Amino acid sequence: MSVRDPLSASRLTRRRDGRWIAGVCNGLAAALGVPVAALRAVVVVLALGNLPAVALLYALAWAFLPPGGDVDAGPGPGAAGAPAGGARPPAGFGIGGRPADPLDAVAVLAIVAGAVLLLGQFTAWLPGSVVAPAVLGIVGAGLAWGWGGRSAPGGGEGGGASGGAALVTGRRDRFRPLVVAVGVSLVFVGGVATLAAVSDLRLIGRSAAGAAVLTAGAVLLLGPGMARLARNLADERRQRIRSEERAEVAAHLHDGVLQTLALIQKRAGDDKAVRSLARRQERELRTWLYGGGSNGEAGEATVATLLRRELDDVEDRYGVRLDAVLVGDAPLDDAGRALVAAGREAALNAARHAGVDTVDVYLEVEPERVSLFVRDRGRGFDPAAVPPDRRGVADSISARVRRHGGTAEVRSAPGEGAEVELSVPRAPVRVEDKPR
Amino acid sequence: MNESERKEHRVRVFVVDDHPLVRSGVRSELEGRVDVVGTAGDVEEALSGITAARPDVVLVDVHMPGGGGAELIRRVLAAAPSEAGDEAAAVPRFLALSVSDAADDVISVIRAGARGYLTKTVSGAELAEAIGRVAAGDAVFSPRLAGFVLDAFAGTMPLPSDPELDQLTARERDVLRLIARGYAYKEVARRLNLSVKTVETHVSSVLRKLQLSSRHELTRWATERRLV
Repeated sequence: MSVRDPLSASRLTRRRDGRWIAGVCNGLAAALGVPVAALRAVVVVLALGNLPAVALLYALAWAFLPPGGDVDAGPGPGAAGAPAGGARPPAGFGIGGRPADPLDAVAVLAIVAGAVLLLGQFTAWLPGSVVAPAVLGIVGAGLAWGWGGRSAPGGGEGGGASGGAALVTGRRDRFRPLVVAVGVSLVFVGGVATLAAVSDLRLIGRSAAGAAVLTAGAVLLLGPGMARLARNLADERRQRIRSEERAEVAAHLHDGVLQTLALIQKRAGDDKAVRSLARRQERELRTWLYGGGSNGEAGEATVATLLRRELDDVEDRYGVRLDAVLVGDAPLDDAGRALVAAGREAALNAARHAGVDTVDVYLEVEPERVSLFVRDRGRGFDPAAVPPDRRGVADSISARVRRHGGTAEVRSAPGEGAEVELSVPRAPVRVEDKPR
Repeated sequence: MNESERKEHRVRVFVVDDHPLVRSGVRSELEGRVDVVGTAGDVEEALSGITAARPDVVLVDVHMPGGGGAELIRRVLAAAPSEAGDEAAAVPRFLALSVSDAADDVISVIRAGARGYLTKTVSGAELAEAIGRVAAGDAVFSPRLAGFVLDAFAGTMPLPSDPELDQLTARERDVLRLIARGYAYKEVARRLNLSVKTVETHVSSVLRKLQLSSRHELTRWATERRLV
């Protein structure tokens, strides 16, 4: 709570300026916008009719309502004179910091009605042995709620008022655990005593109506504050996540993209270097943007991730673009490893000899086999008349996959590019390994 | 329009991309191959520009402020008179151009009505050829799009709601595989002993399935699978 808050004048509090007892009527009159004298007259008349009820209500209000503004205290002395109040709670936190709310009036009326109903029944139908514990319980609840419930923003209470208010706040803080404990035990004792005294079950039914109204009032009073608190926490959390994400993006752009752009400007004359720098950055950014974290991480070994890693390496070494299209994926086994190794050789071959700057790679995982195609539109060759050095490479490619029961085929003709087709059978795996 | 008519007037192209650099780059690459009749930087600008310029083909970026390419395609097609009759020529055809590799981007722009999808690394000659193909009513599949489609239609659904739309034929699968391997339509035709026209028919039919299939895998797949 704070007097600096312009809304606080109309908020439901106890007002000690011009109070008679604890400032309940004073605060209520201010909150409801009625003359305090009229309210007091009504209360006195009611008290003449049923003194215990009014006394109980007054005690309840005393316990429940936060001590409020000594209205005209300026902001200056409050901030200076009250170290405890220096840290004002954010607006909207807790009961004490709540702005005026029409619900407050409704809630108070509900509590009043409920309490009167309850008391009327007790005094009419029950001996004092039941009324006393019930009153005890309710006062206990009030103490526990009124003092314990405001613990979080408590430091700010009275902060805007004066040094004296801060002193009061300090005393409240010291006594809070004790008061809460007393309140809770009063509720317990009162509840047990009431139950023990009420032997007639019909009476429980009747008083249940009063209790329900009382509860509804309490919910109305508490609900908005709680909801606001929850919303504030959620907002804060969202805000934090957003700023963390922004920081991550900024860090990534700085580390990766900006550095690469700087390098590219420095080496603008070197065609090949610029291209490979740009390509490497593009690849990295794509993995980061679209990879969703599942790709490129060392954790899971699948045919696709291994192939991608190998292809990236070939790209880096030879400055050739390898356009890979991957359909499906499979857990990595020996055959898959051999396939990827053979595919790497094929891609290296194309990068070295084809004389092109783009090579197409296609991986398809089917239920019974994995196929890998490496294709270029380069100068091509006659497979029947390969020079011995290239035949050796081709042999090493096919030997790798044949060892795992696979096949390798090289199709090429001079001037028509080349395509290496590799395929290995898949080990009969458990069905769960292949969800689709 | 048929082959001879296409030769007579050059294809009118409208370029929609929020990056001025890309717009001018595409324009200069297409110089002398097609007529670039207008450009726009966002959806609203494109809507009025397309109405005024009446292009045959609209090159559209997937991501743009004020709604992406899919949004633009939907609004132009919704505003256009039905495709039947003389008005057919008035409805432009769309070719999506993007740097994005996200599968859901690709699938959503195709399902909105684009006749093809190319990545921005494509060469000017390839782009011009693709534009001609789209203008003639055919579909343009890049290797990557072919891969996406194969992936999306992979496996069998227990009970396809519409087998005709929910599954690819063996032949369509063969064609898509070759495209995914980097084959041009002409090369696909030679490899499978088909005419280029037949290959185009297969690809168009795949495109139709992609657009019309109610296969829930298509959407689920697109969101679940984020291929690099």
